[in-house]
Amino acid sequence: MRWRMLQRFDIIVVGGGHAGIEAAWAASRLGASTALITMSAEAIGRMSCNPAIGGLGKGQMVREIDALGGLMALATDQAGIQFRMLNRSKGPAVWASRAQCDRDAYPQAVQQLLRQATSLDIIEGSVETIETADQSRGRQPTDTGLRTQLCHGASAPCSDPPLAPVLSVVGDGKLSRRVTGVTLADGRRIKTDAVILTTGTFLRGLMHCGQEQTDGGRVGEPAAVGISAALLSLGFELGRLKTGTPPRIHRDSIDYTVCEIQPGDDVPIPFSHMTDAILQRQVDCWVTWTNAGVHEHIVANLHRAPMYSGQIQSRGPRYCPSIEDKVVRFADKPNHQIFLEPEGYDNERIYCNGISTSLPKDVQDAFVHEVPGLERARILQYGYAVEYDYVPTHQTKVSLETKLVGGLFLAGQINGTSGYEEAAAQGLIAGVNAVRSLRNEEPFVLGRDQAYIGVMIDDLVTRPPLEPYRMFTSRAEYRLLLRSDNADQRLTPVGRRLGTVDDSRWARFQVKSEAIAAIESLARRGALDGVSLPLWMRRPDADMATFADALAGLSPRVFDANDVMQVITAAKYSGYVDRQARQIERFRRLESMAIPELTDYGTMAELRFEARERLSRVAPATLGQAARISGVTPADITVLWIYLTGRRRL
Amino acid sequence: MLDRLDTTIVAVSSAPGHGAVGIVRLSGPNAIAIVEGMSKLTGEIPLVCGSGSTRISGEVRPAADIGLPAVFYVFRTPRSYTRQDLVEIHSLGSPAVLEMIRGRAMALGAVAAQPGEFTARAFLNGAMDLSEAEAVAGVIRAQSDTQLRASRRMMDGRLAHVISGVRDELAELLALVEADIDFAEEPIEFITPTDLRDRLAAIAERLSRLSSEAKSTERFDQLPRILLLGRPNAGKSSLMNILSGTSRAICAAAAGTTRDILSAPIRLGRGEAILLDAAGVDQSDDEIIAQARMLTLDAAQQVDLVCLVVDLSAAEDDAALELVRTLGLVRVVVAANKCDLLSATEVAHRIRRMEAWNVGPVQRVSARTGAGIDSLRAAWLDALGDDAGTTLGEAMLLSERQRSVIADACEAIQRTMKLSESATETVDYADLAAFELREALDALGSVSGAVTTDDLLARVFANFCIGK
Repeated sequence: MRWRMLQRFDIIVVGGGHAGIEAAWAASRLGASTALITMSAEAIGRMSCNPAIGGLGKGQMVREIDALGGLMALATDQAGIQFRMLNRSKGPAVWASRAQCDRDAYPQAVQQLLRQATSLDIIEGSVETIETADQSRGRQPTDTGLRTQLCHGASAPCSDPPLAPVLSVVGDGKLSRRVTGVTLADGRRIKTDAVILTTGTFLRGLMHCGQEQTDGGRVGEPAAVGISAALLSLGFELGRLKTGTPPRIHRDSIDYTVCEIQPGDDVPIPFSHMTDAILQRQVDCWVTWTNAGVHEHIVANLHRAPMYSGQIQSRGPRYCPSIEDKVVRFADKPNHQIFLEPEGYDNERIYCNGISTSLPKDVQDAFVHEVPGLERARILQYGYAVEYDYVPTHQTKVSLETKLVGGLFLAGQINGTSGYEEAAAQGLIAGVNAVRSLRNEEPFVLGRDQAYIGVMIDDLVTRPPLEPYRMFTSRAEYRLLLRSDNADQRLTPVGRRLGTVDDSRWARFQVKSEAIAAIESLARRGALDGVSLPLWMRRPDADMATFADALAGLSPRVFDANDVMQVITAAKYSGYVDRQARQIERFRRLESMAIPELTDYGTMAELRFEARERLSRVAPATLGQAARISGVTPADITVLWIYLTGRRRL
Repeated sequence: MLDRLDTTIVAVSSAPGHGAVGIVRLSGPNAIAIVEGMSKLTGEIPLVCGSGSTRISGEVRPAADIGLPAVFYVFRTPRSYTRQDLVEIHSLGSPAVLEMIRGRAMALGAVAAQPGEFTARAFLNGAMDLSEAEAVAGVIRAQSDTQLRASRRMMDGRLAHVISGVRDELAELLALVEADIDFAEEPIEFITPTDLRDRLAAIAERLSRLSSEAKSTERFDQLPRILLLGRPNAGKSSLMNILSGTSRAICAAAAGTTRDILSAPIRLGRGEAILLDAAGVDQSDDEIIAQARMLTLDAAQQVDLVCLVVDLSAAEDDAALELVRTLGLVRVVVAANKCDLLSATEVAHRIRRMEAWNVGPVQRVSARTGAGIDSLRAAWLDALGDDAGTTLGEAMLLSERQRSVIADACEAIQRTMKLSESATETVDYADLAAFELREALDALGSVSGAVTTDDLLARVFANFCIGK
């Protein structure tokens, strides 16, 4: 990480949040000269909301980011103060890690890692405009992306399906715009070929605490205003979303004796494939509950809540409602859970997870004091809601480049997502693809059958979200394949080919792969309870200890428990994986049929009107994507396909 | 459909409705093998079929105990419409029969063709050029709309009610299992293993009851049979035409399918009946018709109702009357045809005489003008009495496809229940249970509409207070 300033960079990343970090890291890893522009270098990697990483679907994504060479898991392993593996009782495909982090240690870890990047400059400043120039549409790479090898766990590697001949695109000489640089608020101009916007909640951010409204994306930090105007003038359609945070209270003002303790796992399991063990001290969290007294205060003051007074019109996430929402919508529920989560070893703030609110300060004081254990709580920071601009994703390609402006990429909340993990994953993809676009390479696209990251981006571009998008495991139809345990098997070879996986990670991966292959080959020779070991492992009661004993009987070699576990897990799912493989085979065929970017659906009279409208809006890159757009029927797809095939024959 | 050109597809390709002859068409690499597996052919299928098709007669066997006269037209690749191996099975035009033949082909590995899929294959395999492509797209659009309407019609009433009820309950259960996975940190027990098992058992029970209660359209041999008896000029064929509707004309328009009617399923009350015409057969020696005559005469021994068709304007039909009496049939309805040719007084007079025969109720009709046809149907329904009631009545008809969909859903549900057998506290293997439940839903979705992840999440958010 360099601190000097160049006049020109290959890539400019705007924003130092979780998307910006990964974007800058990936771009510089690929050798592009990269600048990360942030309002405050010290704020890079800051956690606006809950200082926790992971959870269902999210944890899987963090593992994927790591397998591809990203930062998030490494920083979490360094800063985590409480690790928990969720869903342990429900089958390894849906196990997910979650870690509470030290709010101060996390950004430090991130900044420390970024310092290792060789071609990355950090620039403090506020981007006001995005400079563009007309360009004629000469080169027109289609957006099917680079198909990458998928490994079904350790058992059934399958080869790439051949790419269908890409339909040639008619160069119609239409003009489009291309990024040339950015201008900062202080007048500095920096030239570049690609800009990645990762503005989080800062785009015209407006915070609400009761009737009190403050411009800003985070408490004490100013909003970014110029970029919204710049995007509008480039012809983008902007939308507005809302999210919220709960109050933070002083740790010494809580009566823990009435709270339920919630410890972390005895043996914390690291996020990163590079981490051997979590050595730092682990802390406890606590749980308490709201009650009738709390609810009374809230109901009595609803007219002062911006969401109810009409002061906030934009949509917030259904999966993360404010406490006023919970009380109103589930009026018959006598109490709601509150997690009291320490923000760090030395940090005196406790995050009150579960009571995000935008009620005025006096109401927050009143209702918090009704909560058992919080009677004398001192609120250090009041909860607030924040509204911000985003760019609805029908304007974005799967590469995360915008359709309107060449070289302009978007990642994170600007794409309507919520969550650090979702943002980080997009940042990584945008960083890689920004570099690839400069090199005239095909965009890097992960399929829905390869990664949660692929599921998320495909969801974004085919079904633009109307509320902040959060990952759930249920969004992944190939969930049984996309497990935490095999993220590296699925993606590290891909990252190696991309150039984001460094030598040390690659070496480690190869060692692990060799061990797994050795275990599998041993298992093929062994038997237990009268059946071969591979068959035995499929049984629901197959446990690791028995299997490890069986292995020990076959070879003196001592294997890592995680590797043994992974072999068992892969075996458990192999039957289902075979069933899914057939679904995937069909899925991929449609996925490999490209649709030219300039396809004019208006002329396809046989498409239903609704289908024409949806297809024109989303402009899918493949027939597979087209098929996932809501309101497009299988018959529409056939009609479309016939048109496309007909055109190819011409 | 674009992603499975190497499969063998099957469809009923004559127009929907009741025609004289119906066609089931198969296209794909296994088309010939599948047909051989379900037929008794009088000749060998040649390895090469000259310039056009090879015509082979024989019997199609949609079930072990049922053989139906049929003619097979075999087109070898690439000399076929789709440029793949293609077989047309021409047999009786009953929707029930055709559905059964199709079901048998599917049991042997064919998959149901989607609207326009034959045409799409023809296009893809180069049998058409671009100038035809847009017309093809139009055809697909139209076919899909027609089929949509047709399937909506089929899904009317109780069947739709039951299936969509089951689908909703399954979606609810899947939503709960998914919530259990995705909202693991919530202090909510979305569903207990016992609850899941019990509710699944109830669904399985409902589905299997549906399967056993519902009349299968394949059991066409259980449909009531009505035999038209009468002299050649009495107007039986005209009556048959008018009763079987306009579909005959559509069917006959397809090249090479024009045949005289010898039997046709017709709508009767809320279900179907098979109308057999003993006449007309002597005018042709065509194989199908000859074999069908045998079928008809055979059926005459066990018809449920004889309709004596009499030409009111001609001399009395003693021969037919004699035959009816000889057979000693219990149920007879007399159709006094061509009533439009005589004066009202004359009609009334002659009808009184026929009533005096005392063989059964007499109904005046005109096959030419359509007068009295509905009353004739009513008279038949009435005469069939309980037979009509039990055979048709409120029974739900399940097509082969619906039946297999229900069976698939049932199997997936059984697998889910098996998974949760050992679970005690939480739903162990919730990930696998969700996988199986999704399969069950996908199966039902093909007849009642798909359920998306967004639908599932919406259910959870609507019913549970989610969110830390």
